[in-house]
Amino acid sequence: MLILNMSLYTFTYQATYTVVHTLYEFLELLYYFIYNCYQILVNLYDKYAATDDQQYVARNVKSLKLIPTHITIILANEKPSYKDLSKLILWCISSGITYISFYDHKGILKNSEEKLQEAVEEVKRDNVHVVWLNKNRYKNGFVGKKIYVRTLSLADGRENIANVAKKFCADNVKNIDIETIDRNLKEKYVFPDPDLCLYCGKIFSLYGYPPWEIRLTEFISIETHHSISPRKFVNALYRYSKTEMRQGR
Amino acid sequence: MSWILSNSLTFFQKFCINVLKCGPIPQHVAFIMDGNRRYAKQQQIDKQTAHSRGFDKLAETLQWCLELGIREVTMYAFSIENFKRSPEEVDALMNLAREKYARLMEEKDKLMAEGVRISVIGNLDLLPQDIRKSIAEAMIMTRNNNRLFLNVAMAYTARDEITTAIKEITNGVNVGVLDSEDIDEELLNHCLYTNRGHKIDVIIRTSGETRLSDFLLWQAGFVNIFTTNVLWPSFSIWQLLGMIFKYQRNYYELKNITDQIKVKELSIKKEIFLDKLVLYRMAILEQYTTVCS
Repeated sequence: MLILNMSLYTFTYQATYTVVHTLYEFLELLYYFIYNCYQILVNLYDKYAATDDQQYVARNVKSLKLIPTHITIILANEKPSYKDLSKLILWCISSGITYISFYDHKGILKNSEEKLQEAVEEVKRDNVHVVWLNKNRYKNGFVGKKIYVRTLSLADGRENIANVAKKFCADNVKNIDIETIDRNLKEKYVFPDPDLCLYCGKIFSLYGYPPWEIRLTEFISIETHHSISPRKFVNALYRYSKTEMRQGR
Repeated sequence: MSWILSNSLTFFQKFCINVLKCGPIPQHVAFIMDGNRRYAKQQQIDKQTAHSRGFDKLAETLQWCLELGIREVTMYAFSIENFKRSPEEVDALMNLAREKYARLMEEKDKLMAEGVRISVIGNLDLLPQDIRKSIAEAMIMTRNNNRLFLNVAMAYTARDEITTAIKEITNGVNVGVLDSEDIDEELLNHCLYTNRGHKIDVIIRTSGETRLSDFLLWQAGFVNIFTTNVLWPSFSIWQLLGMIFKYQRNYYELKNITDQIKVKELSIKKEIFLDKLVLYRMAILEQYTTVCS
């Protein structure tokens, strides 16, 4: 009798579990359907209203009090769309952001960086200068707008910290502290820690993003970078400018 | 209020917990307990009462986690950066900690009966001597318990944790227990404060911020992070259950990614080093208890 009773309970629990998850799945599908329709309408409206993406971004970020210096994008499970990523780079230039990095844990983007470079060359204007850090092509004495771009993969994260530890042993470094590690990690690249991270995908996760740098980074979801609209980008910057940094105080 | 609460859940809450238990349950959940001071402002009470309510919420959350079958809970109580707050507030927080850790020893029987292992992670040298002593006593007393691991992060920042691990490893190389080729991310992973516990599955931050604020940066690699606008003292079981539900929905997608990442096995040399590290850390704790106050 007791056993029968027990299994009746487990059956009820399991049935409820399945029903609730299925119901949620259905509602979520419905939500995303409506949401996508709405997005298409908004994009259509913007296409006719705004003359130019970059002007739209430049006009709308003018009033923001706080603009990130370094913005980083986590692609999560998405396949890189070079056209959309190059758009993001141009919008960053229009809003006065100096550094942009892309993180793709699978390393697809890092291995095909030249495709992104080509995509940017196609759309960029002559008065802007894009510096690709992985290629080490520094050009000094350039006057005009400048943006630094870097692509990251899983290997740039924890492994890099382990390499710094190895280097300390080889050089017999005494007095290891947070500053020495920080300096050694940044030696190769001129990038400061990211202020704002835009992540793709429904899940908020770091996908193994380099851990040391994201201490104070603000994370904002953009759902997907595929055919991202300038409105979404501006909205994320707007949210960032509203955040309050207390730094423990 | 005490650390271990007796069961106070309603029938419906228990039912929901049992339903959720039919799916994957995270093994290790970490909380960033943010919003005590904003809560004080909102409710027009003083900061100290708000912090004290924050602690009560910690105990309550611990009980929910026990019910859910979560094996390990990490709570971000006090960061190294928090020492920058006004001296009065830091003192008040330290007094609260002093009172609560003393309470731990009084509740010895309950802790042992529930099988709770307490560890305080962080740079304990930065804490007042008497607090350090009661922390060390509690950690030594409960070190063999294994039903629920509770980690309280005090004087903690992730960068400090990584720095400490690197220092210990380079020390190991200097005395000849390790070779510098042995250093890799797996070894570093095992030298962090959370080395004896489970892999973290979920990080929860209250009060609407979407930053990690130097908490478990290394361990957060493939964790599912949740944020809620609720201030920590108003955090309720329904928010927790909702997050577990969403974790279950994301579970397979995240698992697919982590399964693809190969984890190297530790060599015997590294194992020996790690065993020595555990002994070394225990020796430090014992040293803390013997200091007369």
